[in-house]
Amino acid sequence: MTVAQSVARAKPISDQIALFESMVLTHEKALYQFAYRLCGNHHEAQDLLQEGLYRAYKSFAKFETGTAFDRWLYQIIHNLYIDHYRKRKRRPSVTSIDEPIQHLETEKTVEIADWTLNPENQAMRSELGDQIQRGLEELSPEYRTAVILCDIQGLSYEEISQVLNCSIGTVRSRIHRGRKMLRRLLLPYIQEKGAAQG
Amino acid sequence: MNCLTVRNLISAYIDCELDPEQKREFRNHLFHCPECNEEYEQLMSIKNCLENSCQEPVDFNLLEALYARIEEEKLAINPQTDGFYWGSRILMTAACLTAFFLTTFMLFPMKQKSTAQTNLSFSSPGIMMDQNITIDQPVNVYQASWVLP
Repeated sequence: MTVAQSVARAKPISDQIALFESMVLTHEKALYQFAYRLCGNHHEAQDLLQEGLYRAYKSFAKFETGTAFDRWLYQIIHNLYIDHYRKRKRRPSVTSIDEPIQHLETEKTVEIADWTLNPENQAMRSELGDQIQRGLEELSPEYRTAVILCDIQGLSYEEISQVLNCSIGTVRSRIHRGRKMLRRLLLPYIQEKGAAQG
Repeated sequence: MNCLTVRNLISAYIDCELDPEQKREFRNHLFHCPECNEEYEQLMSIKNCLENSCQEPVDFNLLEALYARIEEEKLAINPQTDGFYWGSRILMTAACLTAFFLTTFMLFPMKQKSTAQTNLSFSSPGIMMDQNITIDQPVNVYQASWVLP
């Protein structure tokens, strides 16, 4: 049975929730990679993914049965990221250093894994992965998303055009320009590594 | 195909997004043009590099995060549904209306009194309603109406 058929058959709410959960778990890793490559750090990626999943959960009834679930989620996450990116660009965050931070009574303390200060983890992380991430961060969000979806997530141009809601020609030019920008940033590193190995 | 066209199609060729005829022409051009071939090799290495990039470890429970977010939404105080929010609004409106009417009643009785006094003095100057009036000399209707209450 295809996903579309499953969605069409799962009428009761409990079935819909169970189906949603199973589909999320199926694409868990791919979604996390996408969010991480977009944001560039784990904290932002987790926040983006949480909000994206929440939006998807709320509007799961509107999920079109003919479309793929992962692409639908990529679209939601991409739109959220673009909105957030534009807002952040318009209003840079200002924090007062004089006023103490006010804590709400209802505030909960959540333990979050520290990804930045763990030297072992830092050492274990791939150097190439870091280099790629730095390169991706240099690209504008539109180019970055197109390159990530094509080269890391392995989507076709048609699928990317559905996610980004643009023409295949636009996708093609974004990927091409994105790769050329990445070449400028990554090629010296790749050549250096190749020379060292060879 | 010239060099410009080929260079614009390199990424599409790498991703197998060209039709068979374009692919054939593209390969023929690469075979004869070392500059375009070099650019193709470079972009191909970028694609391979991205494809082989290590996957970041997922130390994050998506469903747990989702349900935490749903709980957070439930706990959040919504001013639109809060009873105190609407109660205070109604009280404010009532207070405004009361202040308006009080001000109006404070002002209007003063004006009504003065109008009534003017009318009385105009219709019968110096004569009370229960007084007996006698007119000694002949007067016309207009003079009588002036004197009589």
